[in-house]
Amino acid sequence: MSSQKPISTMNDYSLNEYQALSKSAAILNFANSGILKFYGNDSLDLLNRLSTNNLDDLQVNQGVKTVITSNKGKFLDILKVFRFEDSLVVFTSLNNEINVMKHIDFFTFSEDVVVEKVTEKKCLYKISGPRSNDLINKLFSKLFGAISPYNVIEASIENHKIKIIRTDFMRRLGYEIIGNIEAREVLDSKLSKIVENSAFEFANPGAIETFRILNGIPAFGKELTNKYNPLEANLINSISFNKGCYVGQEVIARLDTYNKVQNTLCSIEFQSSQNFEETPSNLYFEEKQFGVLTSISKAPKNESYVGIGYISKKSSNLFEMKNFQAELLPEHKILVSSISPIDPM
Amino acid sequence: MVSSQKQSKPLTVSISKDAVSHVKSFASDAGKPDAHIRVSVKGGGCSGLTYSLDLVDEPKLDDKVINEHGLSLFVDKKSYVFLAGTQLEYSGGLNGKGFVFNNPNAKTTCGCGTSFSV
Repeated sequence: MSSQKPISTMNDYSLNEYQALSKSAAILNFANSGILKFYGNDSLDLLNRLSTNNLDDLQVNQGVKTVITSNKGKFLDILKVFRFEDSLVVFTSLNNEINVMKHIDFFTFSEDVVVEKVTEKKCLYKISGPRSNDLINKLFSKLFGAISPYNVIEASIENHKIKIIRTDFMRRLGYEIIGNIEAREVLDSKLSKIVENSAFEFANPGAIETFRILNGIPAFGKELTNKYNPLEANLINSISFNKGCYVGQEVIARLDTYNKVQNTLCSIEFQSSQNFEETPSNLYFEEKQFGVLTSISKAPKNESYVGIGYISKKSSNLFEMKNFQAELLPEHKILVSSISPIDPM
Repeated sequence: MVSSQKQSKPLTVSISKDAVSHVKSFASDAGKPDAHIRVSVKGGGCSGLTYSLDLVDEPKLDDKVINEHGLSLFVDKKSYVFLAGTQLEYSGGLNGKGFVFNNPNAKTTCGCGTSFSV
């Protein structure tokens, strides 16, 4: 599996990959997660006091998405926490394991908690698309029943123990498959054979990034940064408002209660004669800034661009407007077709 | 000449008589009439540190043991630095908050009263 820097343009080859993500199923050709393992009796309790979602009721072989925030309620990372018999397995954003470990260590005093970075000891595969079940069944030569979101089932492949977790991470049916690193060769080989003989595809970063942007999925380092809070970043489904105290809770509760969230995560469709680099760019309308563009991609088979960005709450009147001139950074004219708020993940 | 008299804070953790009677009442309700109370500080909560109270039968290794009003109060060793000088009280009545930590080390305390920072 290669790890390439994501790009946002597609060629004819990546169009097949994009279509597999939309209509069939694809295996993501890079695993964009770090993996931590937590041991000790206080692990779940500590994570519960440091993150936004309620982990108290998490059962063995279940998972939950939760956000760690600063004491000012700003986003630090979104974690997927899975509880197993002897430990917790936590997926962090890619290359952010050490920051998460430092944050947890800072708040650990007398707790019985040991955190280990295990990214290199594990193999992690991500499969997404409406036919993901067929792909999983083929991979394990077994018919699995329906798996509920964030439930884990155990399987094996040539004596390697594997965990299959449904996470629907691309707003479509989707699974993450995790095993020890020793299982990688077998899984790589089996997945390659499946792809050779079917409509399934390996999706490369170009197709994945375009699919992500067109489907309004916020990404770590782009939309998900410490400039924004989880309410702005559309992560409300990963927040419990009645779980009690955690770091950042008072700020987040106040923003929600008094409707003080300043920005809305939006999908922005526009046309432009110029090419873009994928860097945050300020958006202006009638010489007044109304938002920040955080991701840009060309729509497949289409000359228009689609972006994700934060639009100021004060400019929410623009949601009603169609086809208006705006500026992306000074003197860069674009024709905005539409701006629409993105549904929470 | 003006002399400045600094009031030194007692480097111990104490518990009020009223709080002791409520601990005993809770212990009795929990079916552990002879239980004692263990105080510790955990990471997390809205201000970064969270108080924790547990009914226990005996202290853990290295716990500091304080006897007051007929109750043994066990204080976690690592938490002691955050709790030195704290008086554990009980705030009853309709508007009461239950057990209250009057902690001179706390710079900020969150609204719910269970979390603090130093």
